[in-house]
Amino acid sequence: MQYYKIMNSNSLKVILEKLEKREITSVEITKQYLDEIKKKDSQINAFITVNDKALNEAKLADDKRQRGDKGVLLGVPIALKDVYSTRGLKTTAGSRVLENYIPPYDATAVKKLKQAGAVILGKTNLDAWAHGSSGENSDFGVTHNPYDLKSTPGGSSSGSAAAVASGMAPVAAGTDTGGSIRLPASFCNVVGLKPTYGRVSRYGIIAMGSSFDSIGHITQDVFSSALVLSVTGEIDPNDGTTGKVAVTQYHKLLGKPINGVKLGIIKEFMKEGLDSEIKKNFGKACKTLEDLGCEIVEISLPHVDYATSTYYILVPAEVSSNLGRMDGVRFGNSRDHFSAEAKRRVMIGTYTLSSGYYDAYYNKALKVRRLIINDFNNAFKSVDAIIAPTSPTPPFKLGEKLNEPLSMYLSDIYVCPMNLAGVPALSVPMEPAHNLPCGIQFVGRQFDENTIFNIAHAYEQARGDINLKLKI
Amino acid sequence: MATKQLTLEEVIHLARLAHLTLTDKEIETYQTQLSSIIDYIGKLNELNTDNVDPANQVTGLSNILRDDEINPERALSQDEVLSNKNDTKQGKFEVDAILQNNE
Repeated sequence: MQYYKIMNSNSLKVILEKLEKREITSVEITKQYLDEIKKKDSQINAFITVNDKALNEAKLADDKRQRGDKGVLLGVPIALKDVYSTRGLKTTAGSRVLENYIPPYDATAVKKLKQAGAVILGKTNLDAWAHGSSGENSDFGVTHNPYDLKSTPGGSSSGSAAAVASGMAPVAAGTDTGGSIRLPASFCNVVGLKPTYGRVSRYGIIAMGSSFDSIGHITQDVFSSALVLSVTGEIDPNDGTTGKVAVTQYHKLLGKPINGVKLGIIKEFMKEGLDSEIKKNFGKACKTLEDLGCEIVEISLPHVDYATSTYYILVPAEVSSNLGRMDGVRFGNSRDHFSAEAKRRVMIGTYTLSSGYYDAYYNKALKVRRLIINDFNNAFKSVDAIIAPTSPTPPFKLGEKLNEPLSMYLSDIYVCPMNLAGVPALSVPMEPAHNLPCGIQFVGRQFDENTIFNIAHAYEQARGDINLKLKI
Repeated sequence: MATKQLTLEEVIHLARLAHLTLTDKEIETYQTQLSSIIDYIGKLNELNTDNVDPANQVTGLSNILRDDEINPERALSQDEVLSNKNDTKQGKFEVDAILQNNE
């Protein structure tokens, strides 16, 4: 039978419009995405679990719409990185330790998405425990980049980025502890949001680095990204670090002119190590922004070269503590089921926290984290937002960095500084380099997602379509 | 700066502290890999941080408290708590003995 696609766009603007006008039903859209998964995922491996109740949930959403319910995401299928606790639906964190774990409760973000009417399509693949930049650390097989099956989709939200890029889900939630949403978004030609630390509740998200973990998502466009944050943003009594600033209707504030907006380019990023074609394309993106009336200046983050070292002291320390609870007593398998990268990070964290090394490493890194926060604060005194390439290189080949952990860590060199400072950042596709996807990120002040959404939205409109072909 | 080289004994000690069991081959691999990572993170010693406050929290919050009350919405039933383990006994988790009876 001829396969007929109902939706040719993953944009929530288009999907919701058609749902609202009753041109399509949630069951039809959900079925389309499930069919795409069936057709493509044997080659991509973006999903660990497909929700066998998805069509039932879609039917319920259609019934609700029939009764006049107006949930913001009513009937929209959405995939979740497999660190989001989902009541009754297996949640593995990409690790054999949790290969049979069925959470007895929903994460706050999941609860909010369900309340808004979203339909859970399934759980996406990732580097185990979200440790990685390529997806290759998953215990459930590597994920392939839909634009080059031999390349990585970036990680750790590898399955989420690959799923949206290849049309297997219109939205996929992820987590960004040191770039884990933005890097894969950049590698897969999709939009990835790392919200401000504390904008979205971490309650029920399997923890990696608790003072870093930012709960965001991957979408086709900026509008969809803003809309989903309007739903997931929360001041949650179950997460004391969510905070203090009220959530707004981010998607309703897009479309303001950006002439006169002042943008800063990070001087320290524009040197050796940055791929020349990405540098050239970034220059073109800057030109587009200037044509829209932005003023672009150079700024300096004097301590940013120390960000990766700081990150790889503090995060493994938090990892060693968070994974301490995986004892196999109350749920999950024994610690013998940890694979290489988790063990590596737990041991680094154990080392830097151990007596005799605590001051030299952990406490030192906390101080350098302060210097990096100050760098961002100083920069934001003179600019409204910061822009930078999301990655210094195009997607790398599967296997290329697998046996060199340090070189893998350095993939995050442009993305992890924002997690140290807790600021929001949004990666948006720019012109491809070497015929592969690459992204530009917009970085804002804490809790000022509105500004970066608006600038990125204007850029996206002015940039136009990206000329890249899926290899699937 | 001289490369910090972990000894095999240090790797074994770290694994023991973290309740991880390593094979001999893993111990050797981690000796090289952890040494190069620890060497890299040691780069921070270049910076003088004498008068810098450590950053324990990034959004300026401190001491978020709540009333010490049970929230029934969050509380799981005993069955739910035990639902991920087969080896439960009389409504409790069963674990290996940690004390030996030498009588």
